[in-house]
Amino acid sequence: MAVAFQLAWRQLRHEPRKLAAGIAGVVFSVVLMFMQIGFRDALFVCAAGIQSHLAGDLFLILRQSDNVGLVFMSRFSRRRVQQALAVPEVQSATELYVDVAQWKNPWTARTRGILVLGIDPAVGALELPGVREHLDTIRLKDAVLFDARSRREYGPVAATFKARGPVTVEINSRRTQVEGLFQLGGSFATDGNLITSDLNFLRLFPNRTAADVKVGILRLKPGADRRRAQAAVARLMPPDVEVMTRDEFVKQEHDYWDKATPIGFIFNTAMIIAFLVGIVVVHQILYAEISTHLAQYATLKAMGYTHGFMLGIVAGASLILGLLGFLPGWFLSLGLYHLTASATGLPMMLGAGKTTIVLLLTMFMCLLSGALAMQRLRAANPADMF
Amino acid sequence: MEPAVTARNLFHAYGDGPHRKTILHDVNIEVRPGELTLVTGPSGSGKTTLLTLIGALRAVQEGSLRVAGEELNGATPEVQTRVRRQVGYVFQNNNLLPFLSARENVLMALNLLPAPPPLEERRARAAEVLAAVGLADHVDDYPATLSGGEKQRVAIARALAHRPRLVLADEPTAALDKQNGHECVKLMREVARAQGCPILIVTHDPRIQDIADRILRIDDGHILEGS
Repeated sequence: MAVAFQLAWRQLRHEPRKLAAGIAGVVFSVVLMFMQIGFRDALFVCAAGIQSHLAGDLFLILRQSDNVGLVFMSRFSRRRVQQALAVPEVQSATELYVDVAQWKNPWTARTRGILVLGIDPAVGALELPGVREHLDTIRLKDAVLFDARSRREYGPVAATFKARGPVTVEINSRRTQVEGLFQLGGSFATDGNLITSDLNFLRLFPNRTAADVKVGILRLKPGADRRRAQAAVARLMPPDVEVMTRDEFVKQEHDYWDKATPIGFIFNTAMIIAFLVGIVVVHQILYAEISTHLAQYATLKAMGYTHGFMLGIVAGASLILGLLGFLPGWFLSLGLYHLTASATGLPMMLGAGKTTIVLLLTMFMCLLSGALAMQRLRAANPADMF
Repeated sequence: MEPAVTARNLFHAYGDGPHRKTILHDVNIEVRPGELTLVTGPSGSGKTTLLTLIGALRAVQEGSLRVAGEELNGATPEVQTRVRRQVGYVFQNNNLLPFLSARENVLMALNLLPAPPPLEERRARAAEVLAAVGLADHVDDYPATLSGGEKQRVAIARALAHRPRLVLADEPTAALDKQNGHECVKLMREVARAQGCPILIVTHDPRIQDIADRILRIDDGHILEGS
């Protein structure tokens, strides 16, 4: 096998231009796969941004007939959240109000939907940079905190706030003051975020009542067993209220965007296309390689080399192409991740998990192309040589 | 000692049913060690079929064919491979691997020895055989830098390096001019004689008939033994 591998390498090296073309094809496909998987992951991290930053151990939501994202979830009674305090492990219980308001850009007068989160300032259930130090600010009437990483369509709010202090805006036709900034970032569901107190939230949405909440946030006593507490709270709740750990809550948001919307499908399709491009390019190279050397391969067979040895040469060539293409592809992707992250603010991270997945996909892609090209080897019949 | 090749009542046909065409009729031959045998005859007479049968490159249909001590009628792929490894081949085109040097091409045959000696010995043996065919100065050259005659001599070295029990050659001089062709066949005979190895050459080339120990003429599938 080592001899077959060595021959494969010699054969590839013999024609540097063809080798370069093959490597370029693999690099292209590797970069495409890394970008798709990177975007997908980054967007899913963003999608569950709120869930990841809620200060709690267990979360109550209305059981949904279908998996839906946080923004589209139905509300349930606040009484249920307070009821959870009956479980001894539960230390505190608070509510999160979520809804989309119309923000009027004060510079262009254009309106745009913005996600509003309402929390109890006494508890401060959101652990985001900028929120904790502004909990007293949002107690003020009609005061909100603005997400500095919101898209620029909302106007230069953050820059103006830093330069001149509070900015007056119209939200749901109500005069409101931006009294502080925090950092979260947009997601599939929203381009921008606001945080305010539960009272201000109800001022912005006058047809909502404090009794209707979207998420109940439970904090457990130190050392409490999370699974046991989860079961205990669930026993207390009517069947329409679901009790989730944070991982389950995050996963529910992922699954919604991945499976219930076309987004997962789009990314998977792009991955498959990247994979197919790689197969086509590598197959072309290997097929041409075999065709060129058909007479020589037939000679080797006549000399007593087995068909398995020939397969070994092709498999060796495909693995070499895969490895030689993966390395530059990985470095190129690393650069592109940094560029994308700084241009879009998406959390693009190239870790061991993604590296392993794409490496395996690349090697599989090359071996598959090799397996397809091996069909051509059947034409290497030594009886036709004389 | 058993002849390198023994054919008894060997028949071979191509096609099926009404289109069936018998190409070899009741062939009986023996090839003895050290002999250089030429097989001649018009195109389509069956001489190439005979060669591919002897080389274990084609399955035997009817009759008995023993090569290098193995019966090839009903031989498994393993037996075929074993026989192929004891035969040296020289083709009309040299079929050298273009990405390997002359020595490495010869090594491709030495690597298949049942108990391969250490690489250094194999490399030395390859150089020795290349020197025997007059290529001592081209051991590490690549085929692209060699002339047609030189390439065919590398192919001859490759066919003989592993001391095969038999050498089969198909029109080995067809791609060479008269002088080169004659020289190649003479070289083949010299090296083979030194190893006691018989040679079977299929050829149209009248220019090399003078070197043969024996000439077999095939016509329409029948062997007409010559001088």
